[in-house]
Amino acid sequence: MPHPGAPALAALRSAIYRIGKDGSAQALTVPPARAALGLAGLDQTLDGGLKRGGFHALRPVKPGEEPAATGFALACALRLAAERPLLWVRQAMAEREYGLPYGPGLMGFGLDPARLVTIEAADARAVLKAAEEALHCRALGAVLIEPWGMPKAVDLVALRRLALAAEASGVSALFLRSGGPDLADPGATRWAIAAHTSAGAFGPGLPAFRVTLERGGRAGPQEWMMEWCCERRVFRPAPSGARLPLSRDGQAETVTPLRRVG
Amino acid sequence: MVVARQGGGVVLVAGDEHAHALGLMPGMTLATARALHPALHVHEADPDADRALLHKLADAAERYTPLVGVAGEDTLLLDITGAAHLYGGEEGLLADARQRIAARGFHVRAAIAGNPVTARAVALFGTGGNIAPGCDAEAVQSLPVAALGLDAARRASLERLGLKRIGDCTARARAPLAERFGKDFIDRLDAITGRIETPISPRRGLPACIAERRFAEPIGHEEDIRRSLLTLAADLKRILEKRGEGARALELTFFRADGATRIIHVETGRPLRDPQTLLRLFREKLDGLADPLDPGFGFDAIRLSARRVETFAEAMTSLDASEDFEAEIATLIDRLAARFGARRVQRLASTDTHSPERASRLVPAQSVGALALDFSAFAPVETEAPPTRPIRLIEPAERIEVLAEVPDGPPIRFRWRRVLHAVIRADGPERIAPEWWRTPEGTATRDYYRVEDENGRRFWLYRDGLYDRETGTPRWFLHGLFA
Repeated sequence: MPHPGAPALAALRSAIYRIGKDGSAQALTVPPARAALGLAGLDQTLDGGLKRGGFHALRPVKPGEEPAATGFALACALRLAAERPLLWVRQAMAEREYGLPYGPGLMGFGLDPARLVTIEAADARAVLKAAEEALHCRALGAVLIEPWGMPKAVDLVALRRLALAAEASGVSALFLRSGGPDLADPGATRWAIAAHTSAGAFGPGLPAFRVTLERGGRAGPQEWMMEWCCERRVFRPAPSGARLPLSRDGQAETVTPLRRVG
Repeated sequence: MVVARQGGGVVLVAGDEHAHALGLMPGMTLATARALHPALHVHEADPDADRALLHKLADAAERYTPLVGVAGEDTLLLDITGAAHLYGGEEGLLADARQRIAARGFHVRAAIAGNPVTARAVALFGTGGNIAPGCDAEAVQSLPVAALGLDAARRASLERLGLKRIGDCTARARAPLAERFGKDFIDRLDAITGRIETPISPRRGLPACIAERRFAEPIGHEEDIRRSLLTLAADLKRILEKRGEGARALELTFFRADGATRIIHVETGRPLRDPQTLLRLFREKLDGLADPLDPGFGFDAIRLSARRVETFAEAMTSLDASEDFEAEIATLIDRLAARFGARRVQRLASTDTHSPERASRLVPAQSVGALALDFSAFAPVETEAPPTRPIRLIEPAERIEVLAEVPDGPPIRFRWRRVLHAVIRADGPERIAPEWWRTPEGTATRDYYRVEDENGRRFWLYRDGLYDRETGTPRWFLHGLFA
């Protein structure tokens, strides 16, 4: 006759086996309250890192910086989520402008698509509704919310609801908006993002960002230059003094100034 | 009058009671009718709308049985086996159906018989009513031969022989009739008299199992509806438990007392049967309806059917938190799919192909297996290696103007969406040849470049066609955006 505790024992064994196999032990532990980004100075001014279960508002510094802003937001989501799944709420309009999430590229960026669920919401109202629903699901690591433009539906009340949902569940909200008037959003932090010259010697190097922490830092607004190490999934300071690329024969090339056109 | 173009002219196809009273009959040309009654109101026939209306009525007829078939342009066939007791017998069901359809302004002919062909013939060509079991053959004797649905030529020659009624035909020897009018004539005769079984082909597949509630007093209050949904879900759970199954696709049908019917579908990502979970899915769906559920004067029946079921894996009470997480994510996906549509809740599926635009697809999250999500081939190989693919793909790729070294140098500057970008770093070419077995002839080889402009923005560009070999002046495209 089997021992009465046998099923529990089997479950425990399988749990241990799983931990041993792929290190998913992190999924079992509660992640710390703050996610360090990897830049000592920045983490210091953030009291240790981005707040888990916080509402973080992000925006591109100017039109054209949207891909950089998306990249930075995804990187923050990866820092915040530890090993948990991510949800990306997009608005259908945005893809006409900036394309669809691309599996091979996300994988190369450090985000395994197997961890990602994405919603293509029809309008801003649906974006907010889906985001709020998702923020209640404790199993998620972070929710990236990306409405298109700054429609009327996105008001302070709506944002506060998202912030409350995030606070209650501990799931971090990354609210990425492109354009529109500034709202006094209820967030823990606020960021403005632009692309930064990469450090690649030959071709483009690791993703690099020039980021202003507009709110939430102890030291007031400050600008940070960083690159994203895709393999280790951590930020590090961008190498100072952007090197000029070398031409193929190894000589430093001079970049001729260009006329401004359009 | 309703008219339609038939053959060379415009012909009347249907009319209301006034038209019939004036002697205007279907088949008459519009010209003749106009000559008789110049003040005629004429509408063009709309067969699509007619069909849609018939299907609406078929939805409403599902209150009697889930097995409803549509025949021709104007007939519904219902398999009421085992369903009549709810209406105090077949007579009661027939009366109820007649009254409900007539109440919506239709002219109804209805009959119940041992098989659908007999019932249809009795309803359309006879007096309708309930044919007692075993009396199918008898009931059709006096019907005109037109009830057999033969072509005009054969009908005419039957009548020339003096065979005006079904009874005239069944009285004759079968062999000569078969010889003269064909084997299918005998088949039709056998079908109408019930000698051979004719199954009803239902509009929709039968659900795997059903739970149903009928209300003597129609219900309309949200709380009443919620409570009856909960009992329905509990009923369904008991049935599913007995079968060791869970539902993957469900349907909730609201039958309004006035005959209007509303069907709500929900799909799930894994077999489910927990009443609260099912209820939440339907809640999401109902809350998200563009055209909300309108109880009118109340629903007098609600049915919950599991349309697709799968074996239900008993959840082990496990110590493994990550398994609970998986279940929670699956529940979230189901709820979002119910609310926003299954198509909109997506995951990225991989395809083993060289073609960049086919390598990754957004697919409904509920339908995707774990294997399809494997992008490990693109994982970062070492710490300093930059990503080789963009995080967003612009599909179709956009045409750009490029200044590049000939024959195959990297771009020096390019213009995309009217903005000029000066390239300060470029890596390439990465040559991607078309998959000749899949692409149309003439598709060119692509040379891809990763480039960075003076502002640090990174792009994925390609030159379409090898310089001078495949094309004279190569065209350039922007295919993706890096972070």
